[in-house]
Amino acid sequence: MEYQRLQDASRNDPDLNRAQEQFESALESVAQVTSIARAGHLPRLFNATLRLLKLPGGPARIHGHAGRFDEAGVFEGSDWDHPERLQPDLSRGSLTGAADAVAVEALSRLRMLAIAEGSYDHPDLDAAGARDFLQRSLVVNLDLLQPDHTEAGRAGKGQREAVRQLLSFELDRLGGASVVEALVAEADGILEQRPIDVSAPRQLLDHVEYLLEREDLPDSASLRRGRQLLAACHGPTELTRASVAECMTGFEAMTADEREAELAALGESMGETGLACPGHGAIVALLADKGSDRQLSLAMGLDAVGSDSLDAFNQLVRALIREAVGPATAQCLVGLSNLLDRGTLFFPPVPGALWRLTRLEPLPEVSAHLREEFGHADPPSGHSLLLAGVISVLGLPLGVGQGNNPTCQSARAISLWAQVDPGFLLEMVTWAARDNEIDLHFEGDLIRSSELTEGLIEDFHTDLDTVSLVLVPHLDKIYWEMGRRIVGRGEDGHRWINPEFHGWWVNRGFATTIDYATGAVADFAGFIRQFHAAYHPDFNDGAELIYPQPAGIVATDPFGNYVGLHAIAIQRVELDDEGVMRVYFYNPNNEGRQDWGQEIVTSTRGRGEIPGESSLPFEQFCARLYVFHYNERELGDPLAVPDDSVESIARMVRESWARERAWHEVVTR
Amino acid sequence: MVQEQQPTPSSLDPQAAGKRSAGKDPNKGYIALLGWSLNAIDAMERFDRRYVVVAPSWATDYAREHDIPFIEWDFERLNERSLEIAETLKKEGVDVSVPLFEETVEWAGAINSVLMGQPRLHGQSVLFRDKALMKRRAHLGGIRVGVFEEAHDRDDVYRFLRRVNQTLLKLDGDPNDPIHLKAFDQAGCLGHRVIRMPEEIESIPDTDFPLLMESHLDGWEFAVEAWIHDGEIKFLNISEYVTLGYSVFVPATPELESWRDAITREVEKLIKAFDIKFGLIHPEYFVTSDGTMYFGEVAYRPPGFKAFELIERAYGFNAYQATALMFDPKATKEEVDAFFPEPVKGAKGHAGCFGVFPRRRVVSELAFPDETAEHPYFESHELYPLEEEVVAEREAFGTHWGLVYFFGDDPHKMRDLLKHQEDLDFYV
Repeated sequence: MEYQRLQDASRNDPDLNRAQEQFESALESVAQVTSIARAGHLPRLFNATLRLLKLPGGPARIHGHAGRFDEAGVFEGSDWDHPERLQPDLSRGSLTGAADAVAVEALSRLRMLAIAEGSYDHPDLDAAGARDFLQRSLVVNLDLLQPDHTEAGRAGKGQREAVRQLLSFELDRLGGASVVEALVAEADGILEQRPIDVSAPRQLLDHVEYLLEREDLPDSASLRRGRQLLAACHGPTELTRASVAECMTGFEAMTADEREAELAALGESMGETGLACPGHGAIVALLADKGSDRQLSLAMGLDAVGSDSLDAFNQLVRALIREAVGPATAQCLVGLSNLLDRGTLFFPPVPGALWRLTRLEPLPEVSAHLREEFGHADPPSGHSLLLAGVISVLGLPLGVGQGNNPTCQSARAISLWAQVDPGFLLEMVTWAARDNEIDLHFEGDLIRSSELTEGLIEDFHTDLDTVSLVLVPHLDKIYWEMGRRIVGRGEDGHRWINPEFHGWWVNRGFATTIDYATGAVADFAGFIRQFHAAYHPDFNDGAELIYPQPAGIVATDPFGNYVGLHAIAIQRVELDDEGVMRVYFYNPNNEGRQDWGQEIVTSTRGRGEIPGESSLPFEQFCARLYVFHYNERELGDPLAVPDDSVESIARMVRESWARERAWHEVVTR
Repeated sequence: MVQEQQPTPSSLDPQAAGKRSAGKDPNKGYIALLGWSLNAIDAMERFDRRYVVVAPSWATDYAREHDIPFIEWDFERLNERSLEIAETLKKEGVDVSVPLFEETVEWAGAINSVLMGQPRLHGQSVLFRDKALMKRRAHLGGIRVGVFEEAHDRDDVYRFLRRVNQTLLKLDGDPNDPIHLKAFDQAGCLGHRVIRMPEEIESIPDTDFPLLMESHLDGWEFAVEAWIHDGEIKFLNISEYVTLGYSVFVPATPELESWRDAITREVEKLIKAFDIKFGLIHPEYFVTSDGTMYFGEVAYRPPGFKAFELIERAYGFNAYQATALMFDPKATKEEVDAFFPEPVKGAKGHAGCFGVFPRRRVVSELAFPDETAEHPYFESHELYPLEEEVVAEREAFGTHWGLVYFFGDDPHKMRDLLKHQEDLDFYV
């Protein structure tokens, strides 16, 4: 649907027409020359291809010529010349490769699509074969449909927008049960982590909706789930599928029993999907004034703690709803429900701080920014947006993401505060919204964000939750300034920065295995033994982790190659149901499911994870860890850790991220 | 650029080229290309004339693999064996040879004098190969040239610099007018040096001598490609240099094109002075603000900087085929007249290219500027990524590291865009 709209709008787009002319001229010149000179003409075609792919409506323009590519010799002499031999699994390498690889893969895929649709006959591949290739390839590349937020993607300069447009076009043209099922699974995989920002899964669901409308697919559990998720977006009940106005009058016309059933259905849908629809927001807003506690409780699917929270802080909860919840901000109901269920209001500073926020009018520039970034034709006030954002963060602290910014530190800080120091977080939100600055102390000195100019962010990507939008620019500068102040100490500065940036509860004990000056791996065995002694219940006398702790991991790509250093927080270390000792951690990266190579694939569900947590078996986690904090008063015996486990972890490190680093082991015997 | 993912020469279908060899007209001329150029070979493959490529042994395998008609020949200095290749080509039935590079111009002259029975052609080609002889010939033909002399050692250069500036009535302490030093027999900017101060003369290596010295000409420098048949200009392209050695585009701006009639007359003088009956010439001129035209030099071969490719992009005709047609003694006037479009008006747009030189002394990677890549005129580039850190030296006017191609409607926008590229780093 989306793409058709774009296509109609694009017919007279001068950029698009121009790019198409360039493409046609380049294709013509490739077709004209003999194979002798063809290689020299391909770069122009590839460049024109990428340019066109990046423009909305561009893939369709290229697709119109797909039947000519073979005859023109575009693929001559390359693997793509034999579409029947192409492997769906290998397409990923091209789609994420260099510009020319992306371009030739794109041309090949659009030819594939033409074969699949029957508009072009290939002697060696029939329509079913082409269709099968594209469906299987789409399934393994679905994540490329979303903006790239992984460390590897941010670190490498990609052609992601071109690829995104291409796959999106293919998807909408192709469809098919396996593609729809994969889309649903992908959306579900994200939603299960309960992110605050649900734009990515909603985009996937848009494709699902389009495909379901277009063709009749055999019923399956996955398709039913897809319909459920879509219903959760657009209205899970008959009433909420109508317009907001109709929904409200309809609700008021209901009998008490009908209302109860309606509210229960809404609460249940939200609980099962993590999504809320506009009608839901409108009805709950209505209940803030006129509804009973029971009605509110049903509408938000509250559990026993949630209902108690509502009971104890009735006026506050109703005030929060009144000020923050409406059709446009319905999604914050997921946060509100979790906030109440988690009992966050029982943290003494929280109710007062929230009351203050219900009255706070942010600075005009802050409000304007929030409203602009909300991406809505008629956005609610900055005041409402800010409050809705605060509710979401307090309810879903593990759902904070860094967006496409290199600010994992700041995102982690927001999440940790929301978890263990919500009063402090609310203080900071207030400062930022009201005073447009925040301050933190570092080693006795006051650091004010308003006096700083430099940060990690060069180009702030605003695909963030509201609290992050308000806080990250300040936090980033302060973090940068702290980093500036420790320059010259010759050691990893996080030793000093983390406790001061996050809070006193970050342990002062600090261990790292990367030598700051040389990048060499130093005393890895000692480092890993220490980590066991501090965190592994079998080696630390069963000491629980009281406060989540910041830690540093080495991000690697699916081949185990070094990508960069990344901030996470260790939430807990526990046995899972199968008796495997696992580290549960928070990854500020928006997507918890990551493949770090060497079969280290982080799990986000089914192994005891709380929504938003990632987990890995203890040893696998160790193989990517490079910095941690520990409680010096609660350490076990490092030497109790068996040599075998230390050695097997060390081997994984040597064969992955430390492959090209010097390795210095302390000689103990 | 992903080399391995492009069709590499060795992986191409060897039969494909052979199949295309059909469609040759035996009544038209049989052309020998002197030198190895894939684009020229490709053009001849697609042309209705028989052809054979004469090139060094390193090209043999590729030619055999791709069914390219080929005769192996190493173009060293002309010697007593030189007649051998002419005889071979004559036996083969070849009508004419076409030089593709500066180094084969004299060979073409020698071979064509045998093939066509016109001994004069060899002498003519020598004029194109020796810049000092060339200038004298132009001078004798009544063409305006700068002051020039041959230098055999550094003392000659000192003297020339001093005398030129004396002539210009410079006083002690006035900045010198520069002089230009060029190798006699090299193409384009190779070996070109500019000398302003006597101290700079010491840095000229012995191996550069003898060389040609010229006074500096102020003015707007440009190049012409003129296709000549039966002594007449059949198509004249003006290539506008934005900065000499960096960038060129075709067709030129309306400002430069406004001199087209005067330029045509100058080229006609040149044709007369050098007694050129056929072929392609590539002269360079300076035009001063009052419209006076100074002759720089002339080459009897396709220009560098991929000008043929730019011309094809702008006008749509293949400049190699055009050149073969001009050389072919069997080409008729009708065929020749029908071949070319109307200058300037017949162009679909302006095609330009920029030659990249690293601006920093030490560079370690290709960093193609986003603003260039995103510009709507940008079409492609042929720059290669670096494997390791490189110390970039730019001796005199050196060889660029690769070209960046542009195409667009507005000549002024093109000119400014090309100029702007000089301020960007392509390698860091």
